[in-house]
Amino acid sequence: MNNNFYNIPEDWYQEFNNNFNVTNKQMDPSLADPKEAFLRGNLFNNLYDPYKNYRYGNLKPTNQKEELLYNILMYKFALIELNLYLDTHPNNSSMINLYKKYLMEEKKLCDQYENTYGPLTVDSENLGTNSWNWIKSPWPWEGTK
Amino acid sequence: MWKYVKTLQYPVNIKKKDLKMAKYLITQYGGANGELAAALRYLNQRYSMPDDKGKALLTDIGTEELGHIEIICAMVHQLTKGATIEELEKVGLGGHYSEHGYGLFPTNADGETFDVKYINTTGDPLADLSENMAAEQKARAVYENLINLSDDKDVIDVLLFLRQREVVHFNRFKELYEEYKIKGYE
Repeated sequence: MNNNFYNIPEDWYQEFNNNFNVTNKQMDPSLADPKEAFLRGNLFNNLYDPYKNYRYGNLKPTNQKEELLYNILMYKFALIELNLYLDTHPNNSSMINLYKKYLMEEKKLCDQYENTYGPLTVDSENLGTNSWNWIKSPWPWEGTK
Repeated sequence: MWKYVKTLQYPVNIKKKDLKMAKYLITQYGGANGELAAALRYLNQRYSMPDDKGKALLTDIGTEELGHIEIICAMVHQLTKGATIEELEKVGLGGHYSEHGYGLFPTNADGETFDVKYINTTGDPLADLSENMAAEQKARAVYENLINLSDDKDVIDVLLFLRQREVVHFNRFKELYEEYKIKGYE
């Protein structure tokens, strides 16, 4: 049992204060960029609450497939966060616009991924024609390597 | 209706077999504060939410929790991969093996099976939302205990991600709770 097996500076999370604001509207929450949001599991700077001095994972992709997948997961994550935010703030149009922007990015990357590596959903436009490639391993619980 | 996406919300690539950790971790599948209880609780409570915000939020957080069940199960699956019967017995999973073999089953860390009573629904939006706020806090605390029990970065990184989701969900439920209180829903 070891809480601190990697070396983390005590004030590592302070650097997260230089974020970008999507618009200049005062009402908008300050957001992390999609990559940082995904890695730490939280898009919203005011809600981010690190545990002790643990630094969140870095998720270095080891091949092209993983790189593309992690980029998709990054946008999917931002979409989930904006979705939950908009559920309780349905009239925030700048957040709706950001949702639509990320949705377009995600769709583009999904299409690219599915073209090469097979469908992510069974209603994908990239289903194979010769064989039913939906069944192809690895399944999500078997890892991404 | 639900649609399956063939990926985890956050990737799980555990290289080291760790049956002890698997035994602890399974509680976030089948324990009182686990992801199965959370998913079923929110998806069950949404029918008595009084307005569009509540119906949407309970549906969407409930849906995300389904994805978290899958992450926990993936972790347990990978942590136990290739375990022998002797190894399972050594960490107290002989009972699990006798009932379920190498299959997964929703229990807590002591092997007690999932109980539907964990779902906790009163039909009162304020009571249910404060139940959910407490549930998110309890799940956060359990994730912290699990992080303390692990020394494997492949495990800890996923747990840090899942812990942070409890923080965000807690705040969304809290926003809705405060709004409903002002609106006088009961």
